[in-house]
Amino acid sequence: MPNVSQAQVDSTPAPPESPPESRVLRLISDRLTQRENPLILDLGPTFGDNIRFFADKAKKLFTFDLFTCLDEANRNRLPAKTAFRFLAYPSRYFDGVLLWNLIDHLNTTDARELARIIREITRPEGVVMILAQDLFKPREYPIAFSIRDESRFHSQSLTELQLQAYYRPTREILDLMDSFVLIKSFISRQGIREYLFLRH
Amino acid sequence: MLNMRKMMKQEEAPEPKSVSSQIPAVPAAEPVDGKTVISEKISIEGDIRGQENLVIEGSMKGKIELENHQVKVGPKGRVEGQIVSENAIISGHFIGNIYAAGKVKITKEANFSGEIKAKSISVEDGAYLKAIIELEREVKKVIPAIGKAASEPEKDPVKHQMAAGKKN
Repeated sequence: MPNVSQAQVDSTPAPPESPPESRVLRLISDRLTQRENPLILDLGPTFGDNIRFFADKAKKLFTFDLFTCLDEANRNRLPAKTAFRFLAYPSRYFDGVLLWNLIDHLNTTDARELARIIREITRPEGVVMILAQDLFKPREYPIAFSIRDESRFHSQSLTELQLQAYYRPTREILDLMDSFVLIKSFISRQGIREYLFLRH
Repeated sequence: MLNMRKMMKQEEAPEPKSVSSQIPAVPAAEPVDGKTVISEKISIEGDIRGQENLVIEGSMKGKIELENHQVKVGPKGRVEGQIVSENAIISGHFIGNIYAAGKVKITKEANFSGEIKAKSISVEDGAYLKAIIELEREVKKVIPAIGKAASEPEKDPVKHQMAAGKKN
């Protein structure tokens, strides 16, 4: 017989569900902390939590918002390569590159060019983190990710950015990144896909 | 420049946390008693040294050395050069380097291009930040793998690319 007290409905509102822990975030953190004096490049929008998270793990953290630069290029009807010119870093320089979900907003030609540049500036054994939107329920507008609780990605809308969407299945993402080796890929309960690549 | 603050809408976190509130044991980067203000209509070219807090609302080109004190570049301030101080708060336009023994705070109104060396940093979401950030950290011992050299070649600093990325 069911316990009456257990059957009572709890009238207190349920707390908002936290996104699940990111496995790729833990993996890249582990990889970077094993490196001596790692240099990290963050190409995402400016989120204080992301900067603090990776600045604590890096010898030096380089930040540059490629999302906004792509948006400006689009607004001025300039090719995406205009934004890539800011990626003039030395060859084989970074131990880790955070690409976030940038490739969701690049056509195949530009995404290939970005992958080529990232390979050039990443050191051998360096790692590259990529996220991609849920393929089956993509948002209508660009989103970005900020780190919360040291382990979770919260998505934030970038409603005013003019970025076209090119959501791709995993096999196309792997094809774009074919000059890297896939270390691990995950899919969260929210459908966000996470990839960690290794540069040989 | 687009304002990222306006672009970002909170989706899944009902109450965004203050970034600065998460950084413990660091002196608060807030003005204390005694300060010099370079007001909006003042423009200075040259170096500044002293023993007092400084607020810049005007424009300044040069080096600012205020060890044990705080430098604040207000929302209308424009600074090109170098800051050496205890704490620094950037809310305006800044191109150059900051060396702070304590904390550097970049607010959402800021447009920052340059290098930051500090004990800790807080950055508000939406700030324009093209930066190289180096925080003071504990020396970590990495056990080299067998057969691998114990030390790696020195990495050259990247400064030329910062100049290429200046935004107005």
